[in-house]
Amino acid sequence: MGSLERLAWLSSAAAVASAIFPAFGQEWGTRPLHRPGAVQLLEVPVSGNPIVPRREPAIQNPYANDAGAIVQGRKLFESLNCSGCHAPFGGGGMGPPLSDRDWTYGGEPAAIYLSIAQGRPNGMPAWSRALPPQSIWQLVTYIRTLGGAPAPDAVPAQPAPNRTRGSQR
Amino acid sequence: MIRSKTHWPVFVVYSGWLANALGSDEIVRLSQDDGQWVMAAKNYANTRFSGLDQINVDNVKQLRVAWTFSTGVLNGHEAAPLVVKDTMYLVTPWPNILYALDLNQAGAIKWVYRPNPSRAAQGVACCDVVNRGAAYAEGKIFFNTLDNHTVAVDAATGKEVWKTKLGAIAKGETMTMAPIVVKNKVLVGNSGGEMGVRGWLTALDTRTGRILWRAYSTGPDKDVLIGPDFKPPYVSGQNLGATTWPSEAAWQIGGGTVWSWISYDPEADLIYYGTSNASPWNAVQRPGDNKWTSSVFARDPDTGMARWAYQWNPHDLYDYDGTNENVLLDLTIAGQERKVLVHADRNGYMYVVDRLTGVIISAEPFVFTNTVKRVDLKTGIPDLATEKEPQLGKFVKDICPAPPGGKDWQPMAYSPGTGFLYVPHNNLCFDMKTMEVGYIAGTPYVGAEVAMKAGPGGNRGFFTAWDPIRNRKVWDIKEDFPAWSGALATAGDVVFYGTMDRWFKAVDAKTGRELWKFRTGSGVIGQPVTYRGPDGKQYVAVLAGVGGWAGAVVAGQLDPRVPYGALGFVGAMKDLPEVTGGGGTLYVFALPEELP
Ligand code: HEC
Repeated sequence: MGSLERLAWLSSAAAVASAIFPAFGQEWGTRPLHRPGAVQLLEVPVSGNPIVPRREPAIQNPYANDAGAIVQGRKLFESLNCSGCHAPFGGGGMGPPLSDRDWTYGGEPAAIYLSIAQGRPNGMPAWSRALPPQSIWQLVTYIRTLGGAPAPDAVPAQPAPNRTRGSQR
Repeated sequence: MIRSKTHWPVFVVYSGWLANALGSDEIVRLSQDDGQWVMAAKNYANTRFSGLDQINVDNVKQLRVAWTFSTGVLNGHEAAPLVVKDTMYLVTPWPNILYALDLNQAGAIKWVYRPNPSRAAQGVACCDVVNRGAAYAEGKIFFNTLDNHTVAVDAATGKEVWKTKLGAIAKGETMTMAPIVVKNKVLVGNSGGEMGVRGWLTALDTRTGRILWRAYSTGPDKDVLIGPDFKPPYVSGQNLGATTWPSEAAWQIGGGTVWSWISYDPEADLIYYGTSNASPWNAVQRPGDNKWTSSVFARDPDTGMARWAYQWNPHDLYDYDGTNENVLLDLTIAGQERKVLVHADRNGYMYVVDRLTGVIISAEPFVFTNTVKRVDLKTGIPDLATEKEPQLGKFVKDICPAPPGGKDWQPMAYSPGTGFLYVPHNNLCFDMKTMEVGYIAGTPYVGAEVAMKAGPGGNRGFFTAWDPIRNRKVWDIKEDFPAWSGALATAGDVVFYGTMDRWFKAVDAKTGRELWKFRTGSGVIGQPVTYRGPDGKQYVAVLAGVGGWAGAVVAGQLDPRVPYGALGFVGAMKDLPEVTGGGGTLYVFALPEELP
């Protein structure tokens, strides 16, 4: 299947999801949608070791702590088969766990946003062309409840462990 | 094939070769030479039996390490090393490095071949990024890469001879199985029954890598390579691979992948292999028998045309793949010489099947099961326990066996000396909730929440000796974790296998008494082999390196607190990270100099 064909599948999946969940593809809650700007995105740290501290303020999750967004995010996590690769509650499988504190590409809201939007090289699909920003933020909001967020911006579902993950992924 | 006791250890020599059978003739000869190990299962019959007896029940306790080799890869090592003359060949999990090691120099590296498979392939491999081994023929090593290439490498130089792309990771396809070579054809199949992949077996020309034929497991007869010669024993009708599905869209993404073992009977000139579970796991989305998923096929290797097929698990409810190996034996059953295949299915039953017709001779449970009450030998239909049927949106508890089955890929061995099969297997049950799932190419197509646990008795695995004539267990050894390695049987009446909690063991083939064990660096899920080295001594070799579906909690560093991880396997393996880490190491054992 070519990438276009695959994209068609993804878009149709998004269409299915929006049919199931009316809020999909629409803005959620009362806050204005925060579409991350290019400079801000460039400054999302992955290495954790900046030579010069960032100037732009960290990108905020527009839905932080929004109970409705958590519910929507969870539904998307299931309907888009994130749960197939990362397991229900993010325990991990084909993809790494999202429920512990060990993040390959960062656990900040903006880093998680980028992981979802751009994909990651070891097999994380890129969803930016299948999902509108608000759906990605809803997913971020839900993922941040799974226990792996260093400074939870939503109520954690369970305590995070002190394990660290190696570097093979 | 290997005849029953009386002929042992004399191997039958076949006559009546077809003109183009020369390739197979040579392979039969090589596989009978116990100095070598030229295909993962040792021989076409898949017996994993070696006639070597230098290492025996009396001296095996003196076995010690001769040399070791680190593969540099951390994921699950399921492969069998190959030995061709004075060289050993190892293929690793992704990134599928092929090493050639010099047996004259305690495993010095001769050459390394790197196929550089796509990184992204790792994300669509359902159950760790394993590879189950390579095959040797015609001066070449053949193996599959996780990103769907079959490669031929010159055995002497390590130069790539050809590389053919067979599938697409964008559709969720991967390749993990060990090929076999029959009549100048490399036979390979795909993986991805958890991703809505449509299963196939493909034959490639050993010389050029050109695709000669492809047989799908689902769809109309022309795709499944079914013609007038197809005589399935229990069913009739045309295009069953399409008509037993709700729609064309369903069988196009219906599973039936071909990710494990192929056997070959040169006399009957038939290959045998199984197909995976139907996709998705949620069976409500695919009313019908879903042929030919969870089935066994007998095919003509020249044309790929099917001769017969039998479906172990029609309308599979529990991810019971039918891919487990078919061991080809000639047995005397009830006074009659029978040509059979023996298959220990995921559903917990040990089947003895007439391999010329597909008719079941017997089917008895080898592990606790509450899903299949019995197999009706007249109709071939398994009688299912309705109380364990999955329910949409509701957990059904304590279903046994769990999705990895009474036995998964881990291949058993057969000794013509004892007449027993040696079966490494699981003792697992599970809770399951099903739900509607939408198909998105390249993502899982499962529709189930699963949490596994230990079966009755609390031990999660067994190593069982089974008598295929009397259809009963002879002895078993309880293992704390699933026995996820292959088995090796030898003429020294010593049987070898490894455990996930870092033991490599030798047991008495007759009694199961433990004779020797060795503490490996990581858990063992590889296939042990044995060979005669250039110095005339018998060696035993095995890859350690935990992982695979059962060991995904370690290989993928999953969260042990979430039982649903790794498609539910984490539920049963929370404590594995406490007993082993990952890391691929080959261990080669021999008796000390002064012995035997
Ligand atoms: C086909 C399997 C697959 C699917 C489907 C999938 N992922 Fe992933 N995901 C992966 C893999 C594999 C990685 C690791 C990539 C890497 O290390 O380069 C990953 C990485 C991630 C990461 C980064 C984790 C870290 O430690 O930094 C996040 C966040 C994530 N995925 C979220 C999601 C969400 C949300 C969805 C659904 C929209 C999703 N994934 C769907 C396989 C998948």
